[in-house]
Amino acid sequence: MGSRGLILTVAILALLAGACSGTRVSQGDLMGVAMAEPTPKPDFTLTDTDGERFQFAEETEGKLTLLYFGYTYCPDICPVHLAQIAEAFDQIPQISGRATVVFVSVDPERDTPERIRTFLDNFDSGFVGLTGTPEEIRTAEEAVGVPPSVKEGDGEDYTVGHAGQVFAWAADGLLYAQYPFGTRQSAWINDLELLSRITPGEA
Amino acid sequence: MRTALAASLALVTVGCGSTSGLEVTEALLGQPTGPNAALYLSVTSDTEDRLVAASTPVAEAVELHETSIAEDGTTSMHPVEAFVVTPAEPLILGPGGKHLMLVEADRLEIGDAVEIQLEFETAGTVAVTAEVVSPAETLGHDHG
Repeated sequence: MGSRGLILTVAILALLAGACSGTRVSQGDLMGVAMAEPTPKPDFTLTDTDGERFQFAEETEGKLTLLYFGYTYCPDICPVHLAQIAEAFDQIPQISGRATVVFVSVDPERDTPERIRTFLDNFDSGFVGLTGTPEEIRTAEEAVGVPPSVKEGDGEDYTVGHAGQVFAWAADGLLYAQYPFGTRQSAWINDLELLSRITPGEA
Repeated sequence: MRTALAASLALVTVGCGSTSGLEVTEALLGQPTGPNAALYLSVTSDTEDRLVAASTPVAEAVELHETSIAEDGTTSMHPVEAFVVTPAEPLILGPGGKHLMLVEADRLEIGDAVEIQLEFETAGTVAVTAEVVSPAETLGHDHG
């Protein structure tokens, strides 16, 4: 390769790297924070609101899967995310039965399975709620690659700092994008519509 | 004159509250889905003032809180003592930021009207009516 060819290659690579860096850029037509490279679904095991063990990768296999960490005492961010997803699901009929929303409680002290179920039923009775021991929840956070949640404050009305974004794996088991707090409803509808077209066999 | 007075009183009671130079608008309560709920509103004022407390019949207590979102995406929420409004800078409470947290909020339906008393250091008590909306609606409407 001549030096001109090399310079051109370097320039193209630099352009590509810039376009795919972790900032809020659209990869293809996605409006969320698209992954530079779609990554495989992590695995962890927690307990669902029926008291059954829930192995994340196995239970969600072949489905468009959204994952969010939160807690039922959270008034501000958690209900907004979950209400947005529920409303987007209602507006995309073909998504029904082919997508799973998994909510992992980061507040095992106060969030009983019953409390999580009641909370999620406000949005969609099909949403899966998970809890576990603090160690199990920590393991799940590590597997997904988010910082560990932190209990803040004393007494009964403590708060919990936690990852604020929603993760989206398509039916092929790959993570395509993350959705930070403040994602617009139009972006949710656009992306869930697009992600729901990816089939299990397609990589 | 009496008609004008009645009309202006009616205006004050619909969705906003105002006293001399201080106005509260866009009061929205995200439908409670758990023990706590968040109420958002905007305040403009001719003079600097501080919102120091609030109360409502639909919750055991109301706390002033602020959510912050770190670079790594971690969100956390902290109680604060007061929210400041100045003539230059309106006070804007909104999702993912400053909000009034209703502790042990009642079950409410979308469309319900909720009374809330705001305590300002200078303006005193301002009563407003907030509309209960879906939490998704509190983010505001898409602007394209």
